[in-house]
Amino acid sequence: MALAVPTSKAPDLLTPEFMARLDALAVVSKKILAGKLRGERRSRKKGESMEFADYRNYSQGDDLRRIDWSLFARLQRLFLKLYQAEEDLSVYVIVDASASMDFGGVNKYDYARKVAAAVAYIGISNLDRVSLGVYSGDGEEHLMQDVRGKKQVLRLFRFLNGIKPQGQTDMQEACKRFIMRHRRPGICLVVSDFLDPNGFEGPLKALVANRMDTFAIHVLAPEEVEPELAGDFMLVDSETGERLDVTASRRLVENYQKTVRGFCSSLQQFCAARDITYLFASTDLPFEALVLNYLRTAGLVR
Amino acid sequence: MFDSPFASPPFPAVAWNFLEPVGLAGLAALLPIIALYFLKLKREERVVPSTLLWKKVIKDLHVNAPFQRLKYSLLLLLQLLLVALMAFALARPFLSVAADTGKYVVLLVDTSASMATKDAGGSTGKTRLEKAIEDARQKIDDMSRVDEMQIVAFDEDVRQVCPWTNDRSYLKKVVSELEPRHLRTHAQEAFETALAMAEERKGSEVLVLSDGCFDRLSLNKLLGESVQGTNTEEASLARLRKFRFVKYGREYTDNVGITGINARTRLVRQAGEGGARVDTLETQMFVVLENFGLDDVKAILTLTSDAGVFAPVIKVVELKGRQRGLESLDGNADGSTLESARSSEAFKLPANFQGVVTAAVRTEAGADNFPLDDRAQIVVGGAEGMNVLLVTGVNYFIEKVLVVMRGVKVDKMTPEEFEKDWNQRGALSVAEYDAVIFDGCAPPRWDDGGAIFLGTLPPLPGFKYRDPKAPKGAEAAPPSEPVLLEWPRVIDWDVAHPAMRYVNFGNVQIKQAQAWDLPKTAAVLVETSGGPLIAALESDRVNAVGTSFQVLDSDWPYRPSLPLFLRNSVAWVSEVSPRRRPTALKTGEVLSLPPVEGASTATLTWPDGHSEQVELSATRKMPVKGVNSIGLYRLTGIPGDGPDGRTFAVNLADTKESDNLAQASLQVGEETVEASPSAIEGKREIWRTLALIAVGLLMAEWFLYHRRLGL
Repeated sequence: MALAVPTSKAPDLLTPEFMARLDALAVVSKKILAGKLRGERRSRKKGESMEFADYRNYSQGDDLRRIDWSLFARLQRLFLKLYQAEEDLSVYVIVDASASMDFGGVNKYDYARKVAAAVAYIGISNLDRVSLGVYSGDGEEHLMQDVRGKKQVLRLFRFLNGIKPQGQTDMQEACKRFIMRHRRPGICLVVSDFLDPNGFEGPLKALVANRMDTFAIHVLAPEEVEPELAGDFMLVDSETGERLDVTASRRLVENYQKTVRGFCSSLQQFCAARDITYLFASTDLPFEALVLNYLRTAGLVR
Repeated sequence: MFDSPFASPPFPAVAWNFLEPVGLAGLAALLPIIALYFLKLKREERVVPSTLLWKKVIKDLHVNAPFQRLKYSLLLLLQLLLVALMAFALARPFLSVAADTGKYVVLLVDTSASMATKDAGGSTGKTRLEKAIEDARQKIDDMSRVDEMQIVAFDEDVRQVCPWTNDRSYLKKVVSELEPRHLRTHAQEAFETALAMAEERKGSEVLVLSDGCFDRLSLNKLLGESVQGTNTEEASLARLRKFRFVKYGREYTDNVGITGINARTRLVRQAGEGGARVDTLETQMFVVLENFGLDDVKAILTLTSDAGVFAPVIKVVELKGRQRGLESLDGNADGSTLESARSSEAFKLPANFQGVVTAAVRTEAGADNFPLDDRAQIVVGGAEGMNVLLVTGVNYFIEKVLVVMRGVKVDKMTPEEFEKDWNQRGALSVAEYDAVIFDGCAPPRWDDGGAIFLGTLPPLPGFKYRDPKAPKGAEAAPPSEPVLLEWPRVIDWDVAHPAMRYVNFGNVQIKQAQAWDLPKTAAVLVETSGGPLIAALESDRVNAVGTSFQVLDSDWPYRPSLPLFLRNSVAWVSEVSPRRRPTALKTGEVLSLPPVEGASTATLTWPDGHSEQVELSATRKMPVKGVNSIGLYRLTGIPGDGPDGRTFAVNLADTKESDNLAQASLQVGEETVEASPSAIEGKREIWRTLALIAVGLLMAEWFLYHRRLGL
């Protein structure tokens, strides 16, 4: 914990004060996930940590070093002391870096990578195995795999800073490719606006099918939720360049807002049905509050 | 038999057409509008993260509103409609209500006095002519480029105010300058002229804008020429079909007017100062009031003098209303009914009154619809004293009688002197005299003024010598020389006649007298067994007394009745003295300026204030034309006249014009031309309506645009 973090290199992502507060947090999973290495995480499995968990009756072949002799002296029966197992956890963060994320007074992509950085930092701090996948351009994949230990924080930040959002992203394809590389179950955080012409269902289904404890962070800018439009406009799709003539009347804007709410609601319902934790994040919500309060409430961090 | 050629079409055929079809080229402006519409919709580009949700919204809207597409282009539709309307308006579309209006129109506008009646145009109180001019302007507006029109105005004269032209602005200017003139209507000539003009163009028609207040027209006179040419009834009636009559005014009137004004001045003997009897001039005025309305009215007649010489005289006259069915006075009207609508009022003016008397009439209800006949004026007096000319050889008795008459100035001439003077100056030689006594001689004719013919046949129409021996009933030429009756016995004398007042003729013996044949209009003052002895004739301009015997052939000079008779006769015949004849001309009459010595020109001032130099002559009367307005005319600049000069009064005084009931049809002989209001409504231009709709659309577009944006 006393690792010196090169804060000067990552001024736009996380402040030292915020990172200090993140140090007290850890990524948790609702599910029992088998780790490859021993980590700093108390697993739900019984293991060999220093922390007592339970007793069980001795059976032949058990390690005699774990017999509680004090208890044998009182009860004349052999009991074995069980300890909390400690293991590492796989934390996956998938960030949508399509052109649609490069939008808003508070840039959606900035917001998204800050959330990703914060969660990754928490994971790294707890010696979890953190993998990042940032998908931008046309099928362009930026990966940072199996990062462990705070030494990697600087690299992580540099990685995130080095990617510019652009192009059109097929999130389903991106998730598939990510899963192909990361078979191990873990916690998977998807930060996206989910404005995918192919639908948001495919990628999320793929993640759940691979036993990922999935968190969907739905990032939208306030300008998207409540656009201030009046008059005749030609709307240009930032990803496809598609043009759409719109005469923005009050009625049309109201209908749009209704549609946005319906879209969020359908995403939420989809997530709820598949045990995916859904969090709506408008970029006017300070991301610190999102990480410290909302993610904690949602059970991603503790 | 033919159907009536003037039957209106059963239903006016409504049809669209354009006066300026070239204006439809404006429809080409639709293309740029469409182009402009797309250019106008070069929208502001706005980059959004994704159009995914927007597409969904628009798709939903389309699903929810099936006419959304239409709504989307509503603005375009409105603009296209706007331009189309404007193009149509430029093409001057019109509704052809009556398609039978010709391309060539002779506009025959009645400008007679009755057209000044204020009963046209509903409650706006327009005169008939104002409404007619308004309609004429509309008709001119309705003309297309190839149509031609000419305008003929008629009242007492027929005036072609505009020849054939299609210059609409000129036609409108000319027609707008028409004013009602205070003149009677001579329609026959106008109709003949208009028909002749109409026949200069094929397919022409005569549009008569009138109230129909004139006499029945003569069909034969109107169509006479063509009947000779074509010799068929149908062809002649076809010519009559060219007339389209548009009626102005209502078939109701409340007009009460003065249709006659006159005055007579005579010498009367009155008791003067100290009991002496003096001769004074007394003027009696007659005013004829007529009620043309259907209701009984109380007319208030007011008589005023110009300088306030006498206090205004006010008289209330009850006039009965005219019976319905007798509106056309030229028909077989019942005389008693006509009498009931007319009243003749007499007033005696103060002695020796000279000046202008104004008679004004109004009803208790107030002013009527025709103000021109509510006022009439007459100029009374003009010359003082009494001048008598005695033309005689030697007649001591008569001279003596005249000399003793007070206030009478007597000049004497022998017949030879008079004949010489007459041959030189004609009637002017007696123009200075109120009465002329011819003793045994006579001028060749007598047609103006008062005269007494003693022992000679008056040169008046109808006075002839008679042969008492000629068999009765036989048509024989009157003898050229007088046949003398010996000792005729006086049977009767008429003491009621002004000339015979206090005259006792019973004791007069006559040696011999001429046998005369008198016209029916003459009055026999003294009758003998052999025929009339003394006769009198009274007409508008002549008062004459004649005796069929020489005074010296009787014992009359020894009787007191002779001076009485002469005095009475001089007073009576001088009532028509041209020297002081009250003047009240009718509009349109020729004003005759009397001969004036010492001046060749004078200034005549019209009632409207404008004045002209008029020529005068020392030897004859000079006519002045254009006396067409009601009011007082003043002639100034004649030496010896006062500063006010001489005054002439001109009045309408015409029953036909005052009888201003608008006629529903024109009578042409036995044929009738019905009023056809549709003739004037032939083409009703609607471009103003279209332009108004276009403006409305413009506002609707503006409103819709802002409503769609929800601003």
